[in-house]
Amino acid sequence: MKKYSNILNIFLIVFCFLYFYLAKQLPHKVAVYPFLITAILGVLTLVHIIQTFMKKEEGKGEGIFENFQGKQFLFVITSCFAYVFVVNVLGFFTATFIYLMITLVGLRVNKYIALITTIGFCIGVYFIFCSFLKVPLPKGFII
Amino acid sequence: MNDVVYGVIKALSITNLFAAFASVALGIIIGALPGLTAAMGVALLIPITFGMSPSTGLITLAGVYCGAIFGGSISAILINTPGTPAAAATVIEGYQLTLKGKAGKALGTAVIASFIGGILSSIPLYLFSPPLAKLALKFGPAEYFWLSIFGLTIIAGVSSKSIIKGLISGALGLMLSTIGMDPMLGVPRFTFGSPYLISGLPITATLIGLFSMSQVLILAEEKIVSGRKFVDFEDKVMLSKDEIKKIMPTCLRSTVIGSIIGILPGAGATIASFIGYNEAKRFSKNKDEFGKGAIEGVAGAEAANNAVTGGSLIPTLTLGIPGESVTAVLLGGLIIQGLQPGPDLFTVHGKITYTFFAGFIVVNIFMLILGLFGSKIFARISLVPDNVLIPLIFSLCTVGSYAINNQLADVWIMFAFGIFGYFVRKLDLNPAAIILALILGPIGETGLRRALILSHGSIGILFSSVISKVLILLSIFSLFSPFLMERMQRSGD
Repeated sequence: MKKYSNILNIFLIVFCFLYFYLAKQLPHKVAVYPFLITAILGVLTLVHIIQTFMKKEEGKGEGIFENFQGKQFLFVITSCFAYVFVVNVLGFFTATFIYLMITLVGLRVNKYIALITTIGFCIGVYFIFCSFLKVPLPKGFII
Repeated sequence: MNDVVYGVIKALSITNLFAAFASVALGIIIGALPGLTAAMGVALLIPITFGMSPSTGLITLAGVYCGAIFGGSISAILINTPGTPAAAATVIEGYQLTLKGKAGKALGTAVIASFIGGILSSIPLYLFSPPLAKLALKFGPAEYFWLSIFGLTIIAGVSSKSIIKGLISGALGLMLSTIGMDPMLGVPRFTFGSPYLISGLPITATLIGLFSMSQVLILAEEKIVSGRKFVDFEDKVMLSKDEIKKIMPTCLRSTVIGSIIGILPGAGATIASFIGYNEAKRFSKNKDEFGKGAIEGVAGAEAANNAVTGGSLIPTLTLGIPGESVTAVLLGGLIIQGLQPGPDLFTVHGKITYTFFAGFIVVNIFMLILGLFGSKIFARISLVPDNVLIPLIFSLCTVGSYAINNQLADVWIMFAFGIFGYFVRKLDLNPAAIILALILGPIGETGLRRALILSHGSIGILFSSVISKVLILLSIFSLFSPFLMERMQRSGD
């Protein structure tokens, strides 16, 4: 899929320049090694660009995003982001309970199975992390 | 010798036995679930092992590793879908046996062959690791620089599809490894003024993001498969004496193949299983049975892929060069425990290392027991649909990345690397190569800069010793090894 190789090429060029720009702001002695890596990535990117240019287009399908479930993906990534965002505010167990219930039901899991899974998971995490390993979990104003 | 005996006794303690049992069971479940990989499982478990003693933690990681490699065969045999890429060759004969109503035999063969492969691969682990680690004592800064270059050239081998993309992944990993304090001058680099980044990227959070959260996103983009079906079976899992006799030569041959491939940089369990399968077919007296359900075929693939586990631990523990992606993640677990690969593991930390080795044997014994008596249960667990797994895995990612430093910043780093890892996978770059470079980058940088300081800037120091020259040759060999592996796999296919 040439299109995605080109996207990768653009990303690599931007990344190289950004890294080089940031490295330039470092003291000279500290910047030598980052410059060396930039040169390595630059050469590899150039080779990849030539490879992409030489490659023949294979098929015109949607390629790596074939069968991509856009709505489902967006729902999952948004709920994950919201979960991380509130976990330190609500506390681990409250945030996890809400996150799991919403995501499981949103992904069409039966409500009762979702509830049992959520409660079972929270109990499991409590015993493994809090009771057995004594690892502190994010605390908020609830639990 | 004392450490070896101590290791055996310690590995048989209640705590370690329980850790081995539970981690093998968990590993089998992870392996049996199509879409979840051994690397993902080990990455998720690292934070949990942080709270354990180093030897128990390492045994737990080994349990998940070995269990997952075997677990992949359960779904391969029963639902015609390899649970892990390493079980791809098992599908060929395993599912044919299932269709004939001999699923029990196929599972029995898989577990016995996996056990033989796994347990015999501990012999080279015991024999070759200490002398190889002793060699590392002779390493100076220049040798460490070349060692890291050797490790980085393995990236080319770890990359399954494109060498250039593997090397690009490595270069990206090297760039990420420069985040944090300069190792020689103590100047912050690329930290954007954030105190969280002064000590560099947190390895565990980065690992979890790249391997586990990215997997969540991969599962989330696909249509949910909720009704996987497997063929129920009534026949016995245990093999008869004659059947064990029949598969034994294949198991032993595949064990040798798997152990060697495990030690070789860049190759992995998938390649080993295909070669093991091919050799089983080549040496078999019943070639006609192949393709129609031959237990020797299952044994050839499974003994080989499980023998890789012991073999690939040798370069990981002695030189800090992981042979494949799972051991790259496992290396992260080792570092988290404050253990550096090399001679110290066999001298200063000898007790921990030999407990881990003995634990590795225990893990394989539990794998046999659980496989023989619990395959039916594990097969049912493998039917858990992706819509249940997605939120559960992400929640574990969150708690895992938080647990090491008790900082929410680590969770955000995990999240960012999860998204980065998703695109890395989609664009055929290699997350294992990024992690490898992230771990080896500082070793190489420090080695290079120290060597140049010692020689007052002359690069001749980098080529002066015999060890350096050998490492340069190995790096060149490693760079070209993917072509060799490709040819071997083709002959296996």
